[in-house]
Amino acid sequence: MGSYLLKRVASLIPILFGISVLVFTILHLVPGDPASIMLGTNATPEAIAALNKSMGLDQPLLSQYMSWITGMLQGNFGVSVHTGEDILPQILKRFAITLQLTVLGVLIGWALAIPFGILSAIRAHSKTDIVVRVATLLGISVPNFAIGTLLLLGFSLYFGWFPPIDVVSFWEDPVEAFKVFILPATTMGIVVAAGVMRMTRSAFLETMDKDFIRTARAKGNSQWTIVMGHAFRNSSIPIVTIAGMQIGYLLGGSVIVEQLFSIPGLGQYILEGIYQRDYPVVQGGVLFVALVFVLVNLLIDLIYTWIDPRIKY
Amino acid sequence: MSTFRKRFLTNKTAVFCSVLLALLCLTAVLAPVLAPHDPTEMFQDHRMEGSSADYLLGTDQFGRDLLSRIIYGARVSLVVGISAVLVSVAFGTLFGLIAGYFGRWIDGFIMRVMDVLFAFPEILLALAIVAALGPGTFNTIMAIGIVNIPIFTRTVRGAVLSIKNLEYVESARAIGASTKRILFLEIFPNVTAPLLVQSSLAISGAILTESALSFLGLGIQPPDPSWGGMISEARRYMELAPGMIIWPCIAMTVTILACNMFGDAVRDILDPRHRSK
Repeated sequence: MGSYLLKRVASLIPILFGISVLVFTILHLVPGDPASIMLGTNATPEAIAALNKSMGLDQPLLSQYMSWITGMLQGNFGVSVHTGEDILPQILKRFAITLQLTVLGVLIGWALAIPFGILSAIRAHSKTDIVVRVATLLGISVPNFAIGTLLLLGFSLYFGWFPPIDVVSFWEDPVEAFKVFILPATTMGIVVAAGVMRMTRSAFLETMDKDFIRTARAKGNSQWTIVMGHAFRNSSIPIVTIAGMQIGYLLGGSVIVEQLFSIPGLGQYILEGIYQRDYPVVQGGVLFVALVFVLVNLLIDLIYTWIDPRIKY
Repeated sequence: MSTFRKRFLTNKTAVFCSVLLALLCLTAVLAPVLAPHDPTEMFQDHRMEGSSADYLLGTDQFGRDLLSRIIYGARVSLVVGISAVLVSVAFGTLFGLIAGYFGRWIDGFIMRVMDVLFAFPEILLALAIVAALGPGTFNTIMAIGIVNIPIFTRTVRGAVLSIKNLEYVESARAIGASTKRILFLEIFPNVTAPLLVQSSLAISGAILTESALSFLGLGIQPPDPSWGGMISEARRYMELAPGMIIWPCIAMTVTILACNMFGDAVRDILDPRHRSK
């Protein structure tokens, strides 16, 4: 396990290098002169020259990359062109909000998906199964911003209720935070639920066909014991895989949900960066999300060995 | 192929979805004939009206006919979705064929690059590319196309690996066929089945991403109608005219649902092991 972990982490190095090159390239794909685009049409030549100098944009590409990546490795994500603030503290502050939203979204998604997925598998081809499958297909096919907009529309039209505007975190005021996050998290949760439900159903269908389930049944175990005690753990690998992919999806999808519900998370920070052509913010934010995404995938791989001890690396 | 046709025609979902998709494509192509009004024409006296004989689905905040905008929106969604997938298929197939066939360091290099692209959540990578290139239809197509290249590269590479050592490929090599001929005339025809399945699923994903980018104001630019953009504009008026949100949502859901179900059905037909239980 220890050597596997080392190997797995070592294999991340070329990926991380590639990610950094790609994120670095974003700024240099911008057609024209990045400094004058960032500062807008009213910028004086002096201001443009000063920005070029402070961001090192007048240096050769390779030395630009080297100083950029050295800064990143030391935790220096640069400063925002727009506000002049350090980027990393902003990213961390806003990521804390995105994380709360994502965790609640995932919990809602799993709470919906796993019980209904199992139910749909053990009652395959029944009416319940058909309802679950149609709901799953709809969940996969309706875009998250449409779900969010419809939720907002429904709650405001029929209940006259809007989520509070001021965002507070769960450790400050759990009740108020719940009110803030419940609609956006449900929006995320519905999309998560669709994918996980689909996977839960097919994983359980496969497991329930296995010999050891027949043996368990022959021993006279109750359905509950068979499902929870025997089938659950054996079906969970594909479910964990899809759940891991969903977390990555949520980190990306949070851009849209946060924009829709005006939540000042990391997604909205990146989006503001894009709207204001604040490229250091975009680069820092995108790099941070990609790093988290890679780490989540690593974690999922490690969880496999815990779920199924037969998996040895 | 004839067994494929027989299985396809007896699969109700596949037939139903292909008819639906054909109708959608027809709507997109015939948009100028089918749309009752110009999608950008503003009827100032008929702003945010409900459905009527003149405006079947009502009008938006500028008095533009919603039905016409949805019909033209189908055009935008399908053109962007299909073009983006064509970009991904072209590059993905090429990279996949090369990686799978040549193996060794070429394979290693191409697949590491794909791993890097995979390390970003889809929408975020598309956003980053659009942020650099700027919004607009062409850049949206390129961004979504690039994001999906790794899926096709992996699909094709996997298929090539299982095919390249088969006897018929070896005999082609033995009679002195060129590498180009082996890759494109011997191997490629046999990877079209997984490509077809992946493409129909990717089109729905591409339409979703396009609508999300347009929703954020970074995809198709107004006044051109796109479903995502329409929903984004309609948010401010949602209590006054809920139809402005609901109709584009329905149009989008039906299109994506049809693509997804079509993809699933074709996968069931082509790969009996995958048959959904």
